[in-house]
Amino acid sequence: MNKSIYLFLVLILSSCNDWFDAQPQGNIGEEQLFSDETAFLNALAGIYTQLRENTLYGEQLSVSSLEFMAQNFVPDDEISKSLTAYDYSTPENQKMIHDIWRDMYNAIAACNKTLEHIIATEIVFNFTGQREIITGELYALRGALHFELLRMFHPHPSVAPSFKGMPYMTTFGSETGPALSTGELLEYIIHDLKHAAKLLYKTDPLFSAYNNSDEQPGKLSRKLRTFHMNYYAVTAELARIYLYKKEYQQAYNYADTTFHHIRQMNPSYQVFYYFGPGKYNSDKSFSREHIFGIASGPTGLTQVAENMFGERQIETCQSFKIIYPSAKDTRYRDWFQLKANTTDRFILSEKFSRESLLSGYTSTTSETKELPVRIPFIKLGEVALIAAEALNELNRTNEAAEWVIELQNNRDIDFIKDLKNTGTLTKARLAEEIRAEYHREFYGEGQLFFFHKRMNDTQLIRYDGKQFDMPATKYTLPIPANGLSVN
Amino acid sequence: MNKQPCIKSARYLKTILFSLILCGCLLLNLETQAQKNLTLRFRQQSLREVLQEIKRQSGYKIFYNEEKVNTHKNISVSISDQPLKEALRQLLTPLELDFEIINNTIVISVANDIAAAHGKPQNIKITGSVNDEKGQPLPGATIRLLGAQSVGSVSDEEGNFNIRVTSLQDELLFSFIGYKSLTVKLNGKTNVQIKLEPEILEMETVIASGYYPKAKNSFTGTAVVVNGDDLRNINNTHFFDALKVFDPSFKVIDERGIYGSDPNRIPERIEIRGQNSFPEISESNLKTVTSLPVFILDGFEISVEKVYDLDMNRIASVTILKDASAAAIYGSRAANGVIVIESRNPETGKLQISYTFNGSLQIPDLSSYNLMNAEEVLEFQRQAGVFDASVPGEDAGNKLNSYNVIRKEIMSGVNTYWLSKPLQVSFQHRHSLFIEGSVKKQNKETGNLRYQINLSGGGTKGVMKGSERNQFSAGTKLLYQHKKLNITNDLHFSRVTSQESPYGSFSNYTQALPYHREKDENGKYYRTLSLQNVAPSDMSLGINDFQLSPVYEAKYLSSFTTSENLDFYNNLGINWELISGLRLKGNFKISNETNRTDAYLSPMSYYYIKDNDNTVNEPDVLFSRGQYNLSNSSGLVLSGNVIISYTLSRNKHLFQGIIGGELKQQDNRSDSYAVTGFMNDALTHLSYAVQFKQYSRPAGTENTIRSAGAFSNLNYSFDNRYLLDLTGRLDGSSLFGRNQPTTPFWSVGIRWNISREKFMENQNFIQNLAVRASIGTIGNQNFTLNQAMSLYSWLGPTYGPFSGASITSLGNPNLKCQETLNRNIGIEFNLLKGSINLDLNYYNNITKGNLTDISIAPSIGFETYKTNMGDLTNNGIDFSLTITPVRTKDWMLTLNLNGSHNTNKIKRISEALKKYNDMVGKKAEKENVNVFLFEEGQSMNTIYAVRSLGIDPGTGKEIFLTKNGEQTFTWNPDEQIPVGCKEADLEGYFGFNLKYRSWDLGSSFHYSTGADKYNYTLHEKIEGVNNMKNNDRRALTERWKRPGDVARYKSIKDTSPTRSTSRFVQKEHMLSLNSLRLSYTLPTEKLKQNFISMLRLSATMNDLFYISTIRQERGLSYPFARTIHFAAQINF
Repeated sequence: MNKSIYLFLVLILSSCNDWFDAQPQGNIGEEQLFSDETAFLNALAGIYTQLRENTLYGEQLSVSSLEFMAQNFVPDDEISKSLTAYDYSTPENQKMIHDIWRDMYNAIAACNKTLEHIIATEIVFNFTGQREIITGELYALRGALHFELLRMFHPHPSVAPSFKGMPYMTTFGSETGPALSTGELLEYIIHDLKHAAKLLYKTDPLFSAYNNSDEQPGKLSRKLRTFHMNYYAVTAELARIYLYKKEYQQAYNYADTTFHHIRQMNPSYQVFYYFGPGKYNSDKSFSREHIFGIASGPTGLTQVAENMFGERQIETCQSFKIIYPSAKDTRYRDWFQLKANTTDRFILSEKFSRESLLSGYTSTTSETKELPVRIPFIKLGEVALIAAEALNELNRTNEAAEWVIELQNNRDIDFIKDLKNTGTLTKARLAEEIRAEYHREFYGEGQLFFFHKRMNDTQLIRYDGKQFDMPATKYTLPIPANGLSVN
Repeated sequence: MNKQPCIKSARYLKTILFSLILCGCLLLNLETQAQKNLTLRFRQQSLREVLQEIKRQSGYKIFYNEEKVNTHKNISVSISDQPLKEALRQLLTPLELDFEIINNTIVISVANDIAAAHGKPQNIKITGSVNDEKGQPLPGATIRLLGAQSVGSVSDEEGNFNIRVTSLQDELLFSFIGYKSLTVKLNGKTNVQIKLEPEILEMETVIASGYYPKAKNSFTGTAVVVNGDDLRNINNTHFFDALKVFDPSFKVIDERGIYGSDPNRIPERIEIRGQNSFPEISESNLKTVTSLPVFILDGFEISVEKVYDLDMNRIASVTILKDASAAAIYGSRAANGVIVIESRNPETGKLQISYTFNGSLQIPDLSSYNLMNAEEVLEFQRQAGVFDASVPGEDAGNKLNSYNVIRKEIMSGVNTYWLSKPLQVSFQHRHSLFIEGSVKKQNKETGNLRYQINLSGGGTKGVMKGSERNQFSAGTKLLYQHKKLNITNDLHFSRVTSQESPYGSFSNYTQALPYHREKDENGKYYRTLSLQNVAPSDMSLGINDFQLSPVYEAKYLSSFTTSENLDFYNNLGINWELISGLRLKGNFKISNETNRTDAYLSPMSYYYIKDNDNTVNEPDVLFSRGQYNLSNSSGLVLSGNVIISYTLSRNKHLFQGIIGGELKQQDNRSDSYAVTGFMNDALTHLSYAVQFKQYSRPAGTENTIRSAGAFSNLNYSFDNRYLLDLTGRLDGSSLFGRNQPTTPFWSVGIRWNISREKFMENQNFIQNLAVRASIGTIGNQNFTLNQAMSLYSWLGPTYGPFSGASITSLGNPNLKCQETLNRNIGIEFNLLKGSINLDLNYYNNITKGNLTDISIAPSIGFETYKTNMGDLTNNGIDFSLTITPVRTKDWMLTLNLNGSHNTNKIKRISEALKKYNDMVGKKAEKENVNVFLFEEGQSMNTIYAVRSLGIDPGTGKEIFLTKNGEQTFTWNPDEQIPVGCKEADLEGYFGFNLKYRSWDLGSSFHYSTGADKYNYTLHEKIEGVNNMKNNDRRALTERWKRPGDVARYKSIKDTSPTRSTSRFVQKEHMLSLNSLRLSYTLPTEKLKQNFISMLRLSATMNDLFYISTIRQERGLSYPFARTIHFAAQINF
């Protein structure tokens, strides 16, 4: 008798841990999720899906908040007015900033969790190199997302080199890292990106020519590489960061590397290339030039754009005509429309509209052959401008000019070409033209604000065309209260 | 030489004893016949001579041991004409000798030495059972051998006992608190069946803890036991309404009376002794506070829905376990209290059919509403300035047109009483049929089988038209008893369907303006209520507001919401006595439950088709119109427990112990879909939809929850005076954090039965007096899966060819069950033979490690994290008093009163709650609400508002008092302070019960005194009102109108929202007649000729009146109802 009691108790108590390890479906526990190769692709896709949320690149970090802050649009309500006035203290803006911070770090946390598993997993991956690709993308995303936060929440090192603000998160858990200086953060970021580049170099399908066996279930498709942090997105991001650090030679090298894809790949296998005038049909955001862009959800950016430019009829800034002096400019022609009943007011109604569709990509649903617009993260145009700026800073103005000429050539304008032909191109003139291209090339993409910040511009042109003094402090978003600790 | 007779006689004796045990009855019969009277008169004769004389007179042989019994001693004796035994007793007792008569033989021995003569003491085993007057077993009854203080035993939970006696002529004393003690002479029987009669009133004597029953007089915990009949007397269809009368600390919370008498409203907040966990908070919104006790039916946990739908005729008893000593055995589930329901066991005897009919009539109770009629509304709107120019100088002509149109309508008699439109007097009926009996015991080898078939069915229609709930259930219960083995099996099936009223929320009717017509001249209902309906078409109206007709869609469209629940379970129990005192009990249950909810919203609903909408026929509009939501869920539960119990009795020491364990596995599944695109109102089937709702996808979950517990209870009692009770439990669950898979719980309880002390013996005043105290921990397992684990969920549209998976929350692997330390002191006494009964308890419960969100740095990627943080206490008393001043053969009057008071206090809160306080304060600035804040040192029931000095007679504005004591007209959320507390000073029930022969009249009243209430009617229906809706009459009569008015409510023209103000905090003293009942049982003699064996008729009226010092609307989304129940029970 006593024996059986004992046995019973032992049974109950000893097998506790297995017994209590019940895994739910629908919601999945992590051990259960990461039990096969596809799971890592799902987790990775999860991160990209999070990035297209409205709090991040689906709205605030692309077409909305950052663009108001760049004075690109005329504000039409209290929230947008406070953004153009850089008043970050309103409850709405506090929430917006708080959500950016939290959701970016949430995506970073997801990178860390997935990295934790992919490093430890004993699964043998079916597709050669896929493990390296996924790992590379995760490191790249971690670095790139931290850099995005750094650009927002830290002053440029040239202004406040010793500023300490955000942590660099490399683990998943309930402990936050210490606040780091810009220099320390950049070291981490570059380290992660370089590590990513190493993992992606040659394993990324972008390096090989297309063949039919590429399209297999559970295999990262070569055709869809620009929807992911691919090898060239990493080099482009590094170019962006070195330019930010004002290390021009490095910046140029990485920018140049990015163009290898176009130079070395048979044109029919290129996944990104300059998209000259007349080539793009309905692809108004010129998605063929995105080195990495995030696919918008079916109700994502398109709907935000429709609301902003369809219902709210938000106008572009008053100096619009000065920004786009040539009516031939494909960007001017294809992104904007005259506002109804006006002769000099424009709206960005085309670039991200419902009609603007990516052509030629396989679709997410079987119904349509095309994807809705893609949210550019880094594009060819920016890399060309990085190369040009770096070379110009290295006093290689003529070489630099070639990069701008190629870009402008594809926009159907020839400002620099004309200057070069007339022999009046100077370093300062080129720098000015690069600035002008930042205005033109990234309208609605949230890049201009960071350009001004990097340049320490103290005077800006407001949306109403008037010049105003921009205090350096306004370039830095306040780190949300409790952002780092709760006490 | 002399030893020989002795040895011979001893052998002889043994043989005799054996044959005696085998055919005791027969021998005893012979013995009684053989009795003769003796007369003995001797003076200084030797005992031997006296014995010779006895031998001669009686003809019996006499045996004795000459070494021990000195027969040469001279004695004197004078006995005349006494029966043999009596004569022997008179003769031998003074000589310190004892005797025994066995089969014409008298055995004489030295007193107390018979046993020794048999080789070992008390070697005759007597078995039997102790039952109450109804034949139900009485566990814990004491059995004592008379004349031997040290020999005793206690009946087990089946009422069975065994005891060793020295002789088959011994007498046994059976006693049990609340029952008359009974002395029984064995007369040679080795098996006795005892029926104890109640000493006084029928008293609850057994505490069913779910795992094992306990005698109340050995119970150190606090529990309220209600037997099924008493429960049904109060309310025979609504379990919770009936139960709350018996325990003042059991409260079903519906703070604002929103849900009224909705038959489909299952309580989601029931508190026993106060609220002991923090509510869930998400995005600074308070989620519904869910706190429910755990419900145990026949040993296994069931959901609150199942209790709600349980056929009350199946209930044998309900026990509310309130403190740690009572509930610690339930460990992690017990913190909100445990309610143990025992279902009726089959009756013994021949086939018996009993049928019960419960009918009830529900009549809507609108007495709390005080709405304006058409004329008053118009006058109110006029005074409020609705028809005035909105800016000075504006031509108000168009508005006056509107006024005139309304005026004309009122003159022509329009005064629609919207309140009655969706209501009906509803009739409910329920039928229960029990077929039961037992298969007669043929002989000892085949056991005894009792069976029961129960069927129940009925429909409940609510007072809102179209709302209903129908139940059907069927079950069989078998109980097999064979020697030491007892097997029960309970198989049950039930089906519940429900339907929501298509008339929607009742609040739409209280807000509809009475000057609008319901129908046009053709008798067709208006879709919208507006002046355009009746005004000349060329007239321009200044007022273009309209209301949706609350009736239209219910009358013309086929929208519906229905649900169906199917439940099946089988419950097998085995109870086996391995050896004397040691029992093995096992219970195994399998249950499967499925739910389905269907909701259809017609494409013709105003939700889709507004007036003057020119897109109605565009394809994408067409395809998204109308919606059908289907959701399914099912749960399979396997659970079992095994318990070993042991009882040991030595002299005055009684030890009882149990040890057991249980395992449970619950598999839950759910899925749901939404489809749209219904072309036609009448095509209501799911399959007529054109597509899935745009961008929606099927949703669903699947999870398994496993839990295990090991528990033990040790109970020691000394002389049934001092009792010590120890309980321990170790609980584990897959919901707990991985690093905390198990949590221990414990309790210690003591009890002193003072009335059993020697010094209490010689008085007739106090029959029972006991004090008890307990301390222990119990837990609350209000976990969801993602709190302890980081879970991934699938995101919506795919990203490329891959579906995204993202982490939904940061799980806390250290999360553990929140613990409540309960302390309880109680006293119970019973005076004047049960005329006065009192049970009084004081408790102090401290909940630590409340599950609560804490803020974490968002750089972690998440903002909150569930952790064990935040403490609160509940202190209070509860008591129950019963007085029976009249008890005669025909009459009995019982008065009862119970009450409770609880004080809740927040000791420590988390950062997230502090943050919530900040956010919600700001929210109060924007929204027209009084808020729920958490502050350390305050109660969860504290009301926060800005102090008010009333209405300024000069301006009609409210004057506020800031924290610094300054007066201001401006309301500022930071000036909100605690202004009241919703806890009552005393709340409970009182009533009487009067019995006269077969008549029974009873009542129960609910009272509450001293609670503060925030009167939302004043806030929302008198001030801060929407002028274009109907409101409380006082909005017209009691608001400030002109300078100099001393008014309670602000200016009638003031349309600014009203903020939470101390002006609307009122003390409530409340009394309601909860139930009034009359029943009549047809006397048996009248039924003798019929085949009917019992007939009982009863009528109960519930919620007859409600008086309160606060005039506030009740039954906001569903009205309250007064109910009259009829019941008829017929046994065949």
